[in-house]
Amino acid sequence: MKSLLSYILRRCLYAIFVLFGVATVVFFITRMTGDPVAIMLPPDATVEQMEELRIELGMDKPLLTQYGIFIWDLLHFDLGESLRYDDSTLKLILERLPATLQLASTSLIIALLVSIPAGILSALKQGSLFDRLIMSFVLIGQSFPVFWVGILLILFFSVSLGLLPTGGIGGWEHLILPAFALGLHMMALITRLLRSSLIEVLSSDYIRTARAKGLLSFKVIAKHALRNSLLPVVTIVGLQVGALLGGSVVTEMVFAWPGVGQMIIQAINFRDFPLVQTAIILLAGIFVLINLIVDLLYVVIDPRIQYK
Amino acid sequence: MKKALSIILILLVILTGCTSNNTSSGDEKEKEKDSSEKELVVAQVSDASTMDPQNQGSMPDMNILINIFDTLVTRDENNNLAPSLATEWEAIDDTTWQFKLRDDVTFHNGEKFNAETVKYSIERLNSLNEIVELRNVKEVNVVDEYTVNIVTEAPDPILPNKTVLFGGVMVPKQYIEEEGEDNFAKNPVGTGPFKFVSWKKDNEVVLEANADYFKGVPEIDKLVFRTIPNIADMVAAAKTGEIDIATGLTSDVAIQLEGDQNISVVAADWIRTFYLVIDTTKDGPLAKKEVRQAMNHAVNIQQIIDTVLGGYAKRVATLIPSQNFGVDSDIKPFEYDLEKAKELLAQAGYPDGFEVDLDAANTDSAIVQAIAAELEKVGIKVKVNLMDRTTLMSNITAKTSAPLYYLGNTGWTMDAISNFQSYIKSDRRYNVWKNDEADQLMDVQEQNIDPEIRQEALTGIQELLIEEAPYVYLWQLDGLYAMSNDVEWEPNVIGVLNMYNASLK
Repeated sequence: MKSLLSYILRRCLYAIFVLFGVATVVFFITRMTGDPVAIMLPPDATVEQMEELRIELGMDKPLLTQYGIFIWDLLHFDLGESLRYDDSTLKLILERLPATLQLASTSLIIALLVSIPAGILSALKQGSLFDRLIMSFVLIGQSFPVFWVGILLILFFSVSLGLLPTGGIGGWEHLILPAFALGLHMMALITRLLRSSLIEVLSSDYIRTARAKGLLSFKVIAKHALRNSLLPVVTIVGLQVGALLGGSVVTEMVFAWPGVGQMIIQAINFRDFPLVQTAIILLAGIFVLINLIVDLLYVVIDPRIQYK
Repeated sequence: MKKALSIILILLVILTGCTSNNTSSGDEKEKEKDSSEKELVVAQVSDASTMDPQNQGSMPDMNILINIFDTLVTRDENNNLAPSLATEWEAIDDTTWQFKLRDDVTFHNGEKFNAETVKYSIERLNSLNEIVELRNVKEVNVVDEYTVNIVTEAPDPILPNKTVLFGGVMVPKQYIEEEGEDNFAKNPVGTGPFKFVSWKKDNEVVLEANADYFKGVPEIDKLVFRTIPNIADMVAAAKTGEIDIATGLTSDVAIQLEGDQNISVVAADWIRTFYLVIDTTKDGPLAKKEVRQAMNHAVNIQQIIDTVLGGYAKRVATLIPSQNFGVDSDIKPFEYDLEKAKELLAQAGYPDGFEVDLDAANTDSAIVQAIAAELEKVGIKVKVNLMDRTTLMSNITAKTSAPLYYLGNTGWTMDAISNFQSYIKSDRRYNVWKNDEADQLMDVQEQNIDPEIRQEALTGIQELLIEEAPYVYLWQLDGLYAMSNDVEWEPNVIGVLNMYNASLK
């Protein structure tokens, strides 16, 4: 137990370095994309007025000095103020984070609810018509980009059938299409992974032994086979959460979902550097945290794994 | 077998995608609306950044706030200045504009509107923003309860025009002082036709009719502004009836929607005017006016309007849209004439043309490709560089852009002064054409309040613009909207989404 705790502490220390790296990269990349002052002022602003604003925003200083100030503020948990909204960036993002988390977690749940049964059945009925159908869907799910699937879903379910709203946030019916579109790729990936992993485990010696002992087929699968084939799935789910958060940027734009992703796009268009920085750092933080949780879950799933 | 199945499946998916476009007309989704309440849903691509009308300067914000707040002056259906909170106005000397105010207006919270409100509003506007339309105001003097004098540092011929939008918004003094700035930015109180109800950021702003509105109760009971950042999605929402008016359509989207039975595409006159800026300050072909005239003769502008823009634009002679003050209708646009263009190029010493770069926003790709193809016909090889709009704008400001770039300008004060101010005078931010005569004429039209003197100077500038051709003059775009068939609404030429005159059948 004590070793686990020190492991977690060590991981948190690493996380600080990761976030520091992310902050550095995002700081310099945003600075390379152009001058926010140019678009913050009306077209008739004079050169002096632009210079004045630049001084006010601290953008007249050398880039490395600006970076130093940024990191110093970051160490004091001061993430800065948005250029467009004149408000704390952290507050602006926290206002929109629930919507993004709701979308991402619903996607995750839908993906798991579909892919785990589909993967298991596919593996058990390997080569059957059902298996082929599933694998065809997997192919589709993995090869179609989310924005395209999103638009098709809107055209079919909203415009043609009139069953679901085209976008925006509201009741559960607003959630179905974006969550499905966002989760589709993960759904396909996990189905395929679980299927191949389960097929491999099912052909291993200890399963044959269990069957030979006369254990019920269901019990063999659920207790012995599935547990061992879940390990790669858990790893991938952890990594895919990053893809979900990234994918939410596109999905939120397609479905007019008022979350962090949509805000990031607008912040980039406006060259609202502080807002972009805070959003990326926060999302990276969430990603790091989820990966830590996944690593800890290994212990539960596979007792052979221990952290020192 | 496996392969065949997957191919069939893919085909099926693609088919559903294609057919859904055509089958849409029949099954309109029933609107779940209370039949007694008239609700109008308007969508735009971006949300407001604040509900404080004086702490912003962007159209998405103003589109919403113009429905909650009133301005001193407004525009009538013929685009003339018309009374709103002010009943009349006149220049009593070169630097003083006097406004007489209505005496029957109250804010949504009951607070009275009077001369003090005007003084407070303009002073607040200038204290919040260093760069706004009314920054030249020296002081605002209360004459009596319903009369104010606005004194400017130098003569301002278009001060009343500036009070039509951002500059003329009136805010409640007592409310802001008592409830605080932050609260005002979240719970705005105005004098306008609609009252603020709620704001879900990046999603929707809900307003309700102001039963005590001094111009009469609006026909719409509930007005909702939805944010839909993706135009394709916005159009889909218009088709299903989730929204009643889709705004800010591009011409390619409007062309696709023609013939759709559920919604109508409304093309309204708009004053957004486009041109190719030519950097004349560097040595080379573009420094010669014959070359620039040749470029103006070489582009078949009407054809581009008819094809690429679907007819949703109107030719302009120079930089000024036809509705704005100062435009001289005797000044005709360049004729499309390839022979003349070639002749002029030969005269300038470039009979075989030359190579040049053109920068444009990626959303304008089709337009600039068409212009480039036209210029190619006279031997001018144009290399088009596409980039996102912000990059384009910051390159232009930093003067690192290509010698040609495609740009638009909305002079919402509806006076040529706004179309010229950033471009024509040598010391202005976007100036890439230096001309002493133009500079002098600019001073005359900017510093005089007599319309006749100004018109003369403005005509002079337009003549110079034709003679010197420092731009390739193109068109003013139409404002494009998709509306459900039961909506009646007249868009205005400024393009601001004032919904007071909207109604539902």
